[in-house]
Amino acid sequence: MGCFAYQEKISDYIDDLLPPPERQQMEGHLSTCSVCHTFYKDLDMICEASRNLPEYEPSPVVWERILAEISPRGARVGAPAGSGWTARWFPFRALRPGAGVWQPALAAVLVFVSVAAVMYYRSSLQPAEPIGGMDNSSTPLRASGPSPITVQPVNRLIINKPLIEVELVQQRIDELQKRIETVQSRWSPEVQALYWQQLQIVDHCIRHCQDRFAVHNDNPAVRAVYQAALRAKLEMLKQFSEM
Amino acid sequence: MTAKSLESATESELVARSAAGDIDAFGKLYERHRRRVYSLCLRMMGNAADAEDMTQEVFIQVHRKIGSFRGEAAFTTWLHRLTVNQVLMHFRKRNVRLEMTTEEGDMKDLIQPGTERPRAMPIVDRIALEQAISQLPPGYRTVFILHDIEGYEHEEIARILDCSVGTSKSQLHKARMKLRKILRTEE
Repeated sequence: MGCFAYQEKISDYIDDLLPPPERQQMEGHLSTCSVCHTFYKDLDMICEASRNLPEYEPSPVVWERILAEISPRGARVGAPAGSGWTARWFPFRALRPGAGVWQPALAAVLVFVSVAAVMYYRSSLQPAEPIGGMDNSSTPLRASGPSPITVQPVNRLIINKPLIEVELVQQRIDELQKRIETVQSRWSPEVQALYWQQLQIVDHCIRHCQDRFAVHNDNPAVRAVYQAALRAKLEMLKQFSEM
Repeated sequence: MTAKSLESATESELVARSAAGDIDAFGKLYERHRRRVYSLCLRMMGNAADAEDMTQEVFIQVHRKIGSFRGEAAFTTWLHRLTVNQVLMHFRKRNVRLEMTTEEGDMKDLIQPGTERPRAMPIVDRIALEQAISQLPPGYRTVFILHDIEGYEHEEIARILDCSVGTSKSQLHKARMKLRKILRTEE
């Protein structure tokens, strides 16, 4: 038997699939032929290295897409990995990283909260001066005319918008939700799952803010955060109503 | 099922819970198997985007079919068989040829004495090996991955690929030779 014939059987030899007589023949040849021996060593090394190849991690998006596909509409869905820190820092499953497309809604809420906090901080550094017995929240502007016009300081105006704004935002939210009800039948299951998931997240934030606001309704920061949460929901609904 | 009990749940418990619609349990199954499924898809398909799409498709199929899993085989075996079938179905849809010859012919990689320096290949670098595997023709690559990486026997490969055991062995040998050639060229 020549080298070609031996080389053809080297894989079977490596995999221990040769019958004993052929195995002995192969070993005899390998001990005398350096070319075939090198060939055998190379293939054996490739096999050995292949058994030890690492496993790779898919991106978290994969689980999010699976979840969007398999979740029943509107159902609470869980994260794949209830790893310790996510469970501790995100007690609500829907808010855990990897639990779905929670980031945009949460990011929107956080942006609004940050803006509101900065404005409130600035307003506390520059309090309006009380003039003529007026309260701190307004500054009288003496115009040339006979009666004083009361002007809200700009920063306070934004942060202390009356609760009417909450009602207006809520009204707009209701309108958008009605519009979404008419269009969502055209959405793919993936978009529908995404919508219910995001709605769940923003509603959770709003409920939490409402509870805080019920206790601290005189605190402008609490009110600002509540408004920010409502605006986040409004923005989310706007996006979905246009899909 | 709490997060703690999910951690310690056996495979069959998770399968049963998943079949009953528990998404947390299914998430735990995904967590345990995602790396192996994705790695298999990545090697067979050759790029990360397709591999992620395929991993997604595999687990959606698992979710749909988990109720029909009777537990005669290990869940891992069932899952990997399903993964391989999904990838092969994808190849067939795309008309990817799994035939086992190359345009170079079958004998090209055999070595005649005196035509090659008889020095051994240097230690196989993992990255170089991954790249070399990705350069294999789809038919060779599939058999090589199933046998040498995933540990399937030739009989199983023959059943999966609907070919003879001899063909599977021959494909594997050619795949190894082709890899050797690629790796030596890259030295």
